Amino acid sequence: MMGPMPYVILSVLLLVLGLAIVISKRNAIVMLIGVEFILNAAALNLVAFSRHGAGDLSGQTAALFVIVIASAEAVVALAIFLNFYHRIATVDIDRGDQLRG
Amino acid sequence: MDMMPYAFITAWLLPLAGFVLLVFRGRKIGEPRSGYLAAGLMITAAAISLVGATRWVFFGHPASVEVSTAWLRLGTQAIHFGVRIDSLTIVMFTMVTVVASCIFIYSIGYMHGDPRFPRFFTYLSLFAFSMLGLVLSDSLLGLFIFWELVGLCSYFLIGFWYEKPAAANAAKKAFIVNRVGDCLFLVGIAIMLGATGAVTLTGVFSEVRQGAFAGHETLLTLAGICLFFGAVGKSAQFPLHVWLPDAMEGPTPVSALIHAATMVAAGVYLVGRVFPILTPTALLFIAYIGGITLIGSALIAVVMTDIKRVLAYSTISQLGYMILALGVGGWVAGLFHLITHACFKALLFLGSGSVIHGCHGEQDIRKMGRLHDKMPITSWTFLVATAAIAGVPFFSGFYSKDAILASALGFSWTHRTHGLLFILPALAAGLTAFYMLRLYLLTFRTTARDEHVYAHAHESPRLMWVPLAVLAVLSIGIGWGRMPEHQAGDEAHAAGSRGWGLVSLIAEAQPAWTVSGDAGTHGSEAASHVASAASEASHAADAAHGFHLPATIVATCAMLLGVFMAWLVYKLLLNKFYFDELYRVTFVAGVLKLAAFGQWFDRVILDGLADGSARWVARTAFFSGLTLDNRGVDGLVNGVARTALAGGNLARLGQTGRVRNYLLALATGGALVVILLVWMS
Repeated sequence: MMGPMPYVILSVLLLVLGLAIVISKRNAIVMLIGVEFILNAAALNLVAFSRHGAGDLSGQTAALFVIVIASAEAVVALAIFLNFYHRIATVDIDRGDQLRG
Repeated sequence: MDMMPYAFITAWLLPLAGFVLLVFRGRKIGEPRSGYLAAGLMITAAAISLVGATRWVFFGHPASVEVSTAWLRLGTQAIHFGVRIDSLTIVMFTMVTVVASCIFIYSIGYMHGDPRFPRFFTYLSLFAFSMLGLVLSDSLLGLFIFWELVGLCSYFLIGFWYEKPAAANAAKKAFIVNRVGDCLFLVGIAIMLGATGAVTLTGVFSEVRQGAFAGHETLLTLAGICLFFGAVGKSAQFPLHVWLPDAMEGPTPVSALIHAATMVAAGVYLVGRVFPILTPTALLFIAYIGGITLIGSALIAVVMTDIKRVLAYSTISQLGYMILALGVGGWVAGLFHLITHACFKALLFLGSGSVIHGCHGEQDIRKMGRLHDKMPITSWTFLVATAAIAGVPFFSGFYSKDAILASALGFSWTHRTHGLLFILPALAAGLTAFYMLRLYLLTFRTTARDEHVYAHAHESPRLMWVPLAVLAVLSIGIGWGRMPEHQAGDEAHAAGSRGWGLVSLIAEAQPAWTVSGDAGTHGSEAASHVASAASEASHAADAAHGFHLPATIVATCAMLLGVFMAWLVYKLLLNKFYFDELYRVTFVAGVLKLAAFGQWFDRVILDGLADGSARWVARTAFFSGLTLDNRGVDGLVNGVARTALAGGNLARLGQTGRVRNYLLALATGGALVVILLVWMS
């Protein structure tokens, strides 16, 4: 049996990838994808440690919550992007700086 | 024999392959070829399943074959994902693949020139895959997954012409109404999982048989009714039937495949599958829902003037027949009718599609007439299907409807209080004959009422009428056969004369043990007089051979009465029994009223409070502002403000407002903390 290590490595990769996307991209939808990467990295960790560490279902339950919250978050974010798009006709978030003093 | 499940799994995965190919390459494959690709894969699947079915029938077979694999583990409990093949699966699988093949070929002609031609076949392939998965699945959970998938495909395909607002709305309506049923279906599965700890059908049955619900018969009844409500939604039974007529906004091949032959029959299939755990009370409930549905929708079908809507209401009515048959214990009769109905109703819809195609989109039968001269093949095949659905002797519908009526008569004979359960289907049998004949005559015979439509009508291309001919042959011949005698209960497959044909194949799959059959013999607490009576009947109806002749005679007599009555209530029914209106008045108006009340509350109470306090505050502020503020405090404050402004401008340098800058700082900080921790330990 493998330990949790492979999962942790994958999770770290996902986290770094997600962070890199969110930091370097300007397209709101691509950034949302990056956020999903990060959330899934966390969920993967929860499941991996629940399987190899605690041995009960708490981690998997938490992962389920993560999934549900991720989908809810995506819905809200996409609704915001839609409004954003209606107003500025782009999803480049750097263009949304009307409030800048 | 062991190859059997894998052959069917292969046939099941073929449409999925078509779906995947068309999703990614559909636009490149282009108009005619994507249709030929999907149809080719479907025909291959049909061929495989026909070979499999032949082998199954003629070379002997076990009662059922199961293949499953552990899918996911929840704590100590494993959930399996697998297929289960018995005679019913074989029959359903073959029916779906054969009918789907016909409709795929037909669609190549019907959808010719549509800008989204490849996408249509993408959805159809996905639907075929999901429907076959539903039939193969060995567990309630697997059933539910594919159940939702077919619902999704139905949504896509009803709204295929989404530029039409009516189509988009119909798609939403179908999806949402189905959610109501599916929600209860899920509750039913949860009750089963909670009480028995199993989700596979065999597991659930054996747990129930060993008394998982001992002392909780009411819960078992409730679980059965919940599961049944899944079928109410999908099979468009009363109160959730409102979506099916609107679903006719989709392309006609879709109506034929999904909303007549296969998907809507999935509800009946589900009830047939979970039949062993349905208590007598649940069965009685099911029978009455079926009875109400079949008579109500038959009455509405009488006055519809849109060719597809007549067929839609007739579909609901026929589904009601199947549900009623299952409710009175006529398991074989109900599923037999499912198969025969799939053939002739698919034919009717394809025929109506051919008419609509030939009349350039005209759907109003009041504007048609005398089309027999223009499209003879469509007319003849339509007549065959009409004869089948009306129950003309020697056509398939005659045998299956006769079986249902015999079961219903057997049930009513043993308990006279439920005589209605025979009267309703007998009446509706007359109505069926009436409205179908009316449809046929108005469309193909009588006089040409709209010269323009008549002048431009033409027979459909060969790609479209060949499937019609195939289905016409099936509509005649599929019902031929004989029930094996003594097939009910324990002495199944024992000696006695062997049956043949479709009906005997279905009879092989009949569950040998049922809760309702048990309740009567063991006399549990829940077995009230209704319960024991119903259980007797479930056997009585199975052995309903003696009732076939009277059932047929009564149905024929009822037909004349039904024709007369249909004309009497013609006016009332023009408005579909006001169901849509009723829902509008109760739900929509209720919500509107609630909203109006909320608005009033907001304006009068909340705003009043806010305004009142605001006025008071303003007066005080006016006083203190003029005298105190402007003089004493301002000087002090302005000084502070200037300092704060300068400090703020300084701090602003770091606040770029760009999330990525903050995030970079955050990530760098986080990384530093980690490095520090590692370094210190």
